[in-house]
Amino acid sequence: MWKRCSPSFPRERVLLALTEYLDVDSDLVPRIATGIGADYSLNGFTCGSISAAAIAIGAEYGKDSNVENPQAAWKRVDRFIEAFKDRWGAVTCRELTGLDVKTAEGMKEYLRSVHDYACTERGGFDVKKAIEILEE
Amino acid sequence: MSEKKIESIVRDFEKATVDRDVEKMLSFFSP
Repeated sequence: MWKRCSPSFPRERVLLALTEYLDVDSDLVPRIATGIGADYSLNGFTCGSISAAAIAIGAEYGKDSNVENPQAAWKRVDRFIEAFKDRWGAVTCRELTGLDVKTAEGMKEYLRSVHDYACTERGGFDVKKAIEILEE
Repeated sequence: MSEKKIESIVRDFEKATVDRDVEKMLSFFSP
């Protein structure tokens, strides 16, 4: 049901696409990403699609105990972030969009001219790059 | 996974994300 619903933010769709690719079946998806939506609940912080990709990478390479080394996940997330920065020049919503989505005007402009365009393009890049990194 | 399959996943993502109904999205997301 959720997968056919709209509207949604790209980070939810990025997480859904990547967990589907990983064959992760959890009731926590996509709700676990809700708080990071609108770039940490409207605050303009790290692009939610980056965070969604990091969660997906953690789902595959994350730790199950405190004695495990986190490097497998960290190195992949680091490569992902570097690729994102190389492609888009920034990592925060505020820098990427130039908008303050905590204001009604900023959110309206985001939905009118960014959500379906630049953010969807970035999300598509994120899905592709994350799959490439997950397959390494 | 083949390049073609990855492109298909990306296209599905884009199709699911694009909405075009600004007023509907605003009713959900307006701060």
